[in-house]
Amino acid sequence: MEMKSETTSIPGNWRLDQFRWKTEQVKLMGKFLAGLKEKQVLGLKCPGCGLVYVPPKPFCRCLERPEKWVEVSDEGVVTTFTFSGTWAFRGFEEADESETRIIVGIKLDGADTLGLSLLQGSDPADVDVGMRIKIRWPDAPEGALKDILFVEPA
Amino acid sequence: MEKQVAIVGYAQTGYGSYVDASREILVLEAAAGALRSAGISREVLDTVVTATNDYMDGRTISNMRLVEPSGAWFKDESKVEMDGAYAVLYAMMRILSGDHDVAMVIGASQASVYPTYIPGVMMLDPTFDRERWLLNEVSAGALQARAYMDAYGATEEQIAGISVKNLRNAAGNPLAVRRMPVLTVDDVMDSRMLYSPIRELNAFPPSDGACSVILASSEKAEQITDNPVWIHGVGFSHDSYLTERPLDKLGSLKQAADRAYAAAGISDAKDQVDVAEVHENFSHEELMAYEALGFCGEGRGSALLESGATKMNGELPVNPSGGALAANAACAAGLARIAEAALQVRGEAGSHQVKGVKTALAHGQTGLCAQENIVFILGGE
Repeated sequence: MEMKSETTSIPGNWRLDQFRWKTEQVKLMGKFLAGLKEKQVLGLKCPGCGLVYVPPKPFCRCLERPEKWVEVSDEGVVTTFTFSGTWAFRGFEEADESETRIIVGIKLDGADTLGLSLLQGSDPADVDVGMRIKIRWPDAPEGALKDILFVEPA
Repeated sequence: MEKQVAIVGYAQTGYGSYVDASREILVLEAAAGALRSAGISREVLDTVVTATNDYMDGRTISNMRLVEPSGAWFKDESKVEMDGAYAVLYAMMRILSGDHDVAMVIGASQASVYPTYIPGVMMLDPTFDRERWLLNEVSAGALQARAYMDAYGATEEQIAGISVKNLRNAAGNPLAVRRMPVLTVDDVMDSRMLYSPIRELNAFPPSDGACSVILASSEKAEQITDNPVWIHGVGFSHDSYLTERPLDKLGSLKQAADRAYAAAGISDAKDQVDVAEVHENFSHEELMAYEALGFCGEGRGSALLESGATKMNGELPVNPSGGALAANAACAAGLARIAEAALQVRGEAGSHQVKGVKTALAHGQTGLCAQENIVFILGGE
């Protein structure tokens, strides 16, 4: 098939206000993001199994509804990691990576779920499971997910 | 379970990285091929279960326009939005209900129509992980591989050994995308790094293709064929989303296998299973599957591979077809494991036939890092 550089644009509106979706997640994420602005990482604890979800989640696999907010540490441990290669995806597109990204799976102290972050300030050769890390906060957090995108060795 | 539902026909299209045909035509070829294989006409079918996926299709209602090509005209048809291996369980239940005698199952997709590996992105938690652009199908698999390697000491070379075994096996499978008779560990290690430790030849090849399987009740099966392939057991289990479970083991595969073994009366899988077709999207997953399926102890996957037991001429050959590393049309890949296992039981696998197969295991998976797993135990007379 011939690859075409142009795509077709169709003007129009999608009336999102005609849909009345319901989700608890929006409210929960609002509180979570407000915490980030104060350099606080908040989790939601399940009353049934005690699992602490970071970010918060409105339902648990044990069929209870996590409702209790707890603050977890901004330090934790690397549980797994990967380095982006010469080929990668960012978002929905295939992209060449100009520099190696170190993606780490982390467990913040006090959290039970895995978070994914980018490790900075470390050579790939020094990265290992069990390594202690901490969130690299911006000077003025905006209360956005990007506030906790980066971690660095603790 | 004793001789209640059997596989009586199957067909796979040739797989390719770009097949110049619409999805409807692939489905039609698989459906017509399975009917020919069973030696029955479309009129004999009672029910059709398709396995397709809206986000891989790039449109909603992915079974739209599949009524005619799937053979479902004037029959009841429904869809499973997962791998076709789960559609087999659904079709089997429809037969066991007593309402239907003959069921057609079809799985199909075309990786050439969507950006490579994109389905993994669509499976991410939408409010957090999907917003951060760190995870996709491959990077998630890489995190799983690293967790497994760290827990049990498996090396990248050992993981590459799975690719070597499977892609060499695929040289005997005319339908495969990757057929590599002289592949070496060095070749795998030299292939392009996607996300460490996953290289191009450790990852499934995005493929176009379709697979179909026809199931029948015991009475109908005996009428249709002298060689029914009986479903002796099935087990299915879901695990949690990838950030909420250990990534160093396949817990839901172990549970699915244990359920299938209990139904089939299998107490020692390594001894009683003659061949296994495993749905490994990435090579490390086959090592993990050895352990979850009880072919070896926890953490012993690499040792089992290196013993040669899972090679074509070994005690328990795994993926004589080449597995999903050789061809992987999403929604058809697990179903193809069932079709391949049935081929082995019937002795129809040609140049990738394993000798003396009486009992075969087939595995399908869906979800990031093998979140959901299903295991079938098949056997002949």
